[in-house]
Amino acid sequence: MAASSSSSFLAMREEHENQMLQQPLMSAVPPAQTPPPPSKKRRNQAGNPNPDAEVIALSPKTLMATNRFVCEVCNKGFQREQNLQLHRRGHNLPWKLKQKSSKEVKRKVYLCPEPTCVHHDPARALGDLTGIKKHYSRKHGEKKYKCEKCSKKYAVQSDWKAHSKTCGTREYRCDCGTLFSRRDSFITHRAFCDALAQESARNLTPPSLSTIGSHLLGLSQMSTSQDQVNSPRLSSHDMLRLGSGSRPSPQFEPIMSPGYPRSLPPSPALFMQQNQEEADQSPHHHGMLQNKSSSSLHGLMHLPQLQMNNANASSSSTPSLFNLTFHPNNGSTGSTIDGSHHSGGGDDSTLFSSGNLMSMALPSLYSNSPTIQTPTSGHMSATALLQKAAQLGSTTSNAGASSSLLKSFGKSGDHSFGGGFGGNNGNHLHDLMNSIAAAGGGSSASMYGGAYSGDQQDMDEYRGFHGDNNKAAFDHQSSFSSLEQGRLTRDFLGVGEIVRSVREQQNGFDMGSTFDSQGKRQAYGGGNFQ
Amino acid sequence: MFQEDGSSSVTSSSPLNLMSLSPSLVCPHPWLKDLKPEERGLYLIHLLVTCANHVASGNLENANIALDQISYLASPDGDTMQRIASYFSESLADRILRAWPGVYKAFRSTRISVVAEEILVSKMFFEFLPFMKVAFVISNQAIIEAMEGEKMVHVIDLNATEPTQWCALIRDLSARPEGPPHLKMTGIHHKKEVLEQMAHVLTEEAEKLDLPFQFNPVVSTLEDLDIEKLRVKTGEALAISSIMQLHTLLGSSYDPGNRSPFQRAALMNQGTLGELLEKDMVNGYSPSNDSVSSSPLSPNVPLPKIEGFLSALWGLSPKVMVVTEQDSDHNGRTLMERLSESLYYYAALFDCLESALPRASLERLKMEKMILGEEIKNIIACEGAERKERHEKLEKWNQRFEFAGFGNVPLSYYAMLQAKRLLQSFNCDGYKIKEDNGCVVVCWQDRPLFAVSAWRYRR
Repeated sequence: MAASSSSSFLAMREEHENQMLQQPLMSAVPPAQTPPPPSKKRRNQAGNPNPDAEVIALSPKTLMATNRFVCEVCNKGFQREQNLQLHRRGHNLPWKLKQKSSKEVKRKVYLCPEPTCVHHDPARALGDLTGIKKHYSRKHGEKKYKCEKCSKKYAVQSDWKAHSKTCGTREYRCDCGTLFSRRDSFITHRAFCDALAQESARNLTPPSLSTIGSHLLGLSQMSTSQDQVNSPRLSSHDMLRLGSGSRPSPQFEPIMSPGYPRSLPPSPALFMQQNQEEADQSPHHHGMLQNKSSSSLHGLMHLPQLQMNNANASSSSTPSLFNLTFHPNNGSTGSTIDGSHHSGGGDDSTLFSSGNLMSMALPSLYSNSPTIQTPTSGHMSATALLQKAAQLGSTTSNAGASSSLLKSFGKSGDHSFGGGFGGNNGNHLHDLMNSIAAAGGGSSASMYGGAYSGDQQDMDEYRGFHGDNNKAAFDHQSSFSSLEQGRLTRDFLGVGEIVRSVREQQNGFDMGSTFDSQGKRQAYGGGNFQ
Repeated sequence: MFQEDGSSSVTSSSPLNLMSLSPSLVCPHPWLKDLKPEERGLYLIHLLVTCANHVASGNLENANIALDQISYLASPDGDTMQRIASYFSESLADRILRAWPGVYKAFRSTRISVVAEEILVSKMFFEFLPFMKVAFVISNQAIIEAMEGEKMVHVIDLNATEPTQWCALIRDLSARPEGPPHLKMTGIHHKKEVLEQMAHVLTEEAEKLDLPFQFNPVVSTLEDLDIEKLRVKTGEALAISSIMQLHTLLGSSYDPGNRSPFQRAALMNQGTLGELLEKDMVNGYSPSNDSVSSSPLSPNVPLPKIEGFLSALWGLSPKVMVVTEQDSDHNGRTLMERLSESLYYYAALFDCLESALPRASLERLKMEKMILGEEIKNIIACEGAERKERHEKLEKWNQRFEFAGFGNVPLSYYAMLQAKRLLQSFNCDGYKIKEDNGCVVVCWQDRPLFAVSAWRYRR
C-alpha cells in the first residue's frame, strides 16, 4: 500500500478493507482456520497524544482474532508470537524468539477500525492493543456473555466476570427504581433523575418519556461500566423501570463522588444531548453542572478515606474568617480525641472520647476576633443609662421592662429625676419633667420654650438641673408660664424662622394655620401611628 | 428643620476629628455642652421618648423641637448613647418626613447603595460580633446531629450570603466517622452574584475534602419563593437554616389597591396633616400581626405571609429546621411600644460594638450606620409591608412554630458548649449565653439579643 500523505485517504482505504472483511468477521471468531491477513501499518504523526508514536490501524479481523499465530505443522493457534515459537521447538522447526529490541521501544497507538467510531481518528487513537481490542468488542461487537442474575450482556469476558462478582452484592436504588451497583453512577443518575422525574411528572407526553427513558438507559448502562456502549435501543427492562411510578423508599448508600455525567469521557454524545435537555428545562441545574465540571473526575477517581480527610482538615490552614483549623493549642489531628484541647475538663473528654463526629467539630469554629478592648472608663453604657432612666421615672418597680421607660416620662412620678445626679435639686427637675410629660400637645412647646431659654433665670434652673441650685418648683412653673410668650418668640427666633420659611413654601399644604408661634398649638389628636 | 445627615461625611473625614460630625450650627444653648456624659445620655433618652410621643400624636412642631435639641447632643461618633440617639432621631425624622411623600422621595432620590459595601459590612458584622458565629456553630451542630446516619443530606439556606457556615459544615460532615454524606445545598438569595460566589467557594471546599457536593442556587426573595424551586426530593433528609430571615415575613400581604393611601386621603379631603398622620394613611394599613382576627372572607383582610411560608416548609417534612432570630419585640402595634423595646435592644447592641471596637473605628461606624441604623429606621419609620424588621420574642416564635406543626428539638449540650467557647474567645465579659426551653439565647449582660432554636417536622 502506497504511503499516502493524507490521513483521510488512508481512512478511506481502511474503510474499504473493513467493509470487505466486515461480514465474515461478525459471524464468529474463527478458531484460527484461516491465515490472518497482514496487518497494515502506517506512520502518522498527526496530533495524537504521543506525537511520535506509531499509529497502527488493524483490520477488524486482525483485531478480533484470538489466535493470530498458527503453527504450520499442527495448525494450533497461539495468541502470542513467542508462544508459537516455543511450540515450534517441539516440532524441531527452526524457531527464533524475538528479543526485546535493544533500541528504545517505539510507542504504538491503535485505531479502531470502525469508521464511525471516534477512535478511528488518529488523533484519538488508543494506546494499548488489548485496550483497542476490548473497545472494539464492547462498542462494535456482539454481546455474547450474559449475567445470570440480571439481564446484562457483555461482549468482553472480563467485563462479564467483573460484573458477575458485584451483581446484587451492593445496590443503590434511586427513587425511580433504577438499581446501581456503583456509587458514582448512582450519584450521577440521581443528579439528573430528580429533574427528569419532575419533568416527566409535569409533561406526561410520550416524547419526553422516551427521552427520559433513553437518558435513564444511558445512565444505567453507564453505571455498569464506563466504557460500555450505550445502545440506542430502549430495552424493555428499562422502560419498565421508567414506567413504575411508585418510588420505593430510597436506600441510600454512602456516595463518594459528585459525579456529573459531563465529566465522563466515554459517551459524550449522549450527554451532550442530555445536557441540552437539562439546559432547556432547568437553568439552575445547568449552572450547577458548570460549577462541577472540573471536579467530577476528581471525585470519581478518589475514594475519600476518613483518615485522609482528618489529615487534610487538620493540616490545612484556611483563611476563612471562621478560622476552622484546629485550635492552635492543639497539635493533634482530629482523630485523636482527648481532653487536651478542652479547657473544660473531664466531663468534656468523655463526651468526645468516643470519636464521634462531634469531636471533629469541636476545635473547629473558634476565631479569636481582633477585639480591641476600649476601656470605657467612667462612661456609662447605654444599657445602664436606659435602666437608670427607667428607674428614675418608674413609680412601681424597676423591672427594666419596656413600659417603665415610658412611664418615666409619661407619668408623674414620685421619684425625683435628678436623684441620679447626686444633688438635692431633684424637686424642681422632677416637676420640670412632670410638666413636660403632662403637657400633652398644647403647652409642651411652651415648656420647652421655658426650659430652653437662655435667660439667666432659666440658666439657674438648669444649674439646678446640674445640682448647683435649688429653687422652688412652683416658682419655676409660674415663671415658665409668665415667660412663655416672650420666651417663645425669642427662643424660637432661629427655629421659628426656619419653620416659617419652610411653611411658606408649602403653599399647597393646609398647614399654615396650624403652626402658630404664639403658643397656640393645635393638638392633632390622640391617634397613634400604627 | 430636619436632622442633618452628618454621617454622609464619614468616609472622607479623618476619624480623629470628632468635631467633623458634630452639628455645625452654633448651639444657642451652650449649657448643653456642659452636660456630663451621663447626664447627656439621660437627657437624650428623655428627648427621644418625648419626640416619639409627639410624632405618635401628630405633634410635629414639638417633635421638631425635640429633634433640634437632640441634634446638639447626638452624634454618630460620640459615645454609645449619642450614637443611638443619632440613629433614632434620624429614624423619627424619616418617619415624620414620610408625611410629605414628594419631599421624602426627593430627599432620598440621590441615595446610592453600593452592594460591595453592604457585603463588606455584613462580613464585618460577622467578624467583630459573635452572634453570627454562634448562630452558625449551633445551627451546624444541630444539623450534624440530626443527620447522623444519613447518606444524602439536603440543606436549604434561606439567606445564602455567608459561605463560612457551610464550609464549616462541609468540614464537619466530611470528618464524621461514618463517612461523608452526599451533600446538596440550596441557597436562596435575591442576587445572583452572591449565589455564584457562594457556589464557587463551597464547591471548592467540598472538592478539597472529597465530599460529594451540589449547589443549587435559587434567585428569589423569600416572599416570592416558589417552593418547587427548592427541588426537595421525597425521602431526602432535609435541613433548613434560617438566620434572621423569618421575621421579614411577619408583615401581612395586604393590597390597598392601586392608589396610594396618601392619594386616597387627599381625595377624602383630610384637612390637616395631623389628621392624616393620625389616621396613618400615609404609611399604609398595618393590622395586628399576632392573629388573623378579622374574618378571612373580608376582602381587606391581611394575610400573614409567615403562616403560608411555614406551612410550605412544613410540607417539605424537614428533619431539622434551625432558626436564629432577634429576641426582642419590635413588632408592636404602636410606635411607642416599638421605640422603647428597640431602645433597649439596640442600646445593648451598640454597647457590644463599643466593647469590640474603638470609637474612631470606621468599621464600627459603618456597621452602626448600615446595619443597626437601617434596622432602627425600618422599625421606627416604616409601616405595613415596608416594615421588614419585625422582630419578636422567642416565646412568640415558639408558639408560631408549634402551631405550624413543628416540634421542638432541644439543642444539645455540646452545641451550647461550643457556643460558650466561641463567646469566650471574644474576650468580652458582657456576652452571656443561656438556655431557655431547649433554645439557646445569647445575651449582652441581661438583655437577650439573639435566640437559636431547632425544630423538626411533626405529624
